[in-house]
Amino acid sequence: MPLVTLATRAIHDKGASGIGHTLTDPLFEQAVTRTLVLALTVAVICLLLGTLYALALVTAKGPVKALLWGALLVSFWISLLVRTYGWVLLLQPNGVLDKTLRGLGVIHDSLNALQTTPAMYPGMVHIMLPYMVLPIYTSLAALDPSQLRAARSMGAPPLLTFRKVILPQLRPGAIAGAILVFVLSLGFFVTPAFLGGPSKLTVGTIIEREFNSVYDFGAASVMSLALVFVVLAIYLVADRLFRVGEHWTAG
Amino acid sequence: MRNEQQAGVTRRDVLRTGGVALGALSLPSLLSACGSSSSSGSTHYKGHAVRSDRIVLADYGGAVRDASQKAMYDPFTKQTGIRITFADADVAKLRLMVESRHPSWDIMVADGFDTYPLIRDRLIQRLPTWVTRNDLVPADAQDYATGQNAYSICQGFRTDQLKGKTPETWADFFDVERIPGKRAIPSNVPFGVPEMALLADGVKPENIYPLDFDRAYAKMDELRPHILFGDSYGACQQFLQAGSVAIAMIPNGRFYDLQVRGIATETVWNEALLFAWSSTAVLTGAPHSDAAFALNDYMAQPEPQAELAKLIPYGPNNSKALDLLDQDVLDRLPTSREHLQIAFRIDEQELANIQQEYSDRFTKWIAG
Repeated sequence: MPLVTLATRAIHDKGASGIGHTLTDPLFEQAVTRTLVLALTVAVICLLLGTLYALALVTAKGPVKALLWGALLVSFWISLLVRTYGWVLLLQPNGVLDKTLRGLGVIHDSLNALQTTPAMYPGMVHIMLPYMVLPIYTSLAALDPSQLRAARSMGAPPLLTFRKVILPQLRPGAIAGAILVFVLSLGFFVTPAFLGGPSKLTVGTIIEREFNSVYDFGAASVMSLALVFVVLAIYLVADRLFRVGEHWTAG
Repeated sequence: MRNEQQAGVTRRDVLRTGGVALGALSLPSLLSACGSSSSSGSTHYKGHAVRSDRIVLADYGGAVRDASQKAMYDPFTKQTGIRITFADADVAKLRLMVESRHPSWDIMVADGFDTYPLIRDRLIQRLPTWVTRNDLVPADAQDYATGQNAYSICQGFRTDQLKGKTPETWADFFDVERIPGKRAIPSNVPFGVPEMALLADGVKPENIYPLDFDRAYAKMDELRPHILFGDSYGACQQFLQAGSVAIAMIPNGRFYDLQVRGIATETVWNEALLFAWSSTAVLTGAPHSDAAFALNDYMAQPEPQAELAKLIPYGPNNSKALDLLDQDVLDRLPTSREHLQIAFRIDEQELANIQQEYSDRFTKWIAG
């Protein structure tokens, strides 16, 4: 239903030429590029960090394991706004980061990191990481430790073990996590808005801007629909790939 | 004042209960008003029968609401037994409500420039003759709205952070050579931005209007690398408090708030952008118009306005209220005699006429 309303609004307010105009607006195109690069980079970084974290979770024992779980879940439970605002306090001029780096003598003035495009990255990775760790962990948890022992007893070096035993097990979780993070990042609003500032627009923040500052509901509808279609397309493609992957593993 | 709601705790609409009972016990009024209420729930205010026992008042919440509650709403409820419930003010919503003929609010507090279109489109009612007029509300709006307060958007800085030269003019705000550091500007409201940019660019105060937007935003482009945008006045205030910026451009009450909390802050009154009045007006077709007019009259009196100014440093719109205030309170108001002389007065009528372009140009510039 909301989609129908959006579509009606978009067509009614804009018409075919208006829709084209909205989608080729330089501001929107910049935002799309910025968002795609952001979402892709965040997904890749999360994939690497998430895999390491999940491996650590599986292999750790006792208090270390509890600590790793605790850190992951606490970060999941703390409000998104609070976590993002924490990054604001870290990155703002004369904030924690500036003071630390100045104390170490690395910089003399200020990084002026807040309200730049790079400022969005650490915050986004922080927020998205749990979405990556959990699916990978679920895949890895199904891994039978006896397989690892078997590989080792057969004299396989660690890298080979990783490639032949762990990687296939980890793959579905990693794919699911990466797609989840990528798609979530595409439409993410709060973190880019706080850390990137009002000039470094992403798809999420430009839609909000059209709606709440420019009052161009038609343009906001067109952009939202475009986002929905892209996300839908990614899901469909991913789903196909997934099933292909399953068949391949089964065969 | 718009977007001041971030000032304090967001408050749920609070029902003032026990109004009728309190009304009967009310203290002798400051005013000549008759403060009794009968058991049927209808009451009298200055000899006028008021049948409604409640008012829905839409405002921008925050610190201004909290102070108004103490200075105006609570005493009014105590005197009349009329309860006041709150809603969040929104000009677009008011327009839709009145046009659909079913407004659920009675009163809205609005900025001066937001008030003119409401008068023009008959969205607010003409006040009955018995309601007190406020002399600091412009003559062409006095019959439709009583005043709420005056505020200035001005520069402020932390005295313990700025060594050497401190800002005195808007030109200094742009002078990052002599006063290094970032400047905090809100990204959500355009108010005062083109005016201050033109003042900084050397335009004489009397020639600011009509606004030359191209020139103003070309000047703003110079400053862009040195700006830290806050998504609200509150965020800008926080940037100043944290020492992230050298100077912030926000309403004067924000600096006072820092001072009260023990942070050494100075307000720059010179060239302060004075929004000299904001309004309290009754919606056309308001369900409790009778009670709303009574509250309007009450809020227009010098005593409650003076009380409000003591709690929050925004200027009264009834000039008699200024006579009731001590010098130390006057010193923090944008409308004290000294501060008025050096302020730049925003032309609310002009702002009302060019509102769309005024905010469009700002929004466009923000996105860069």
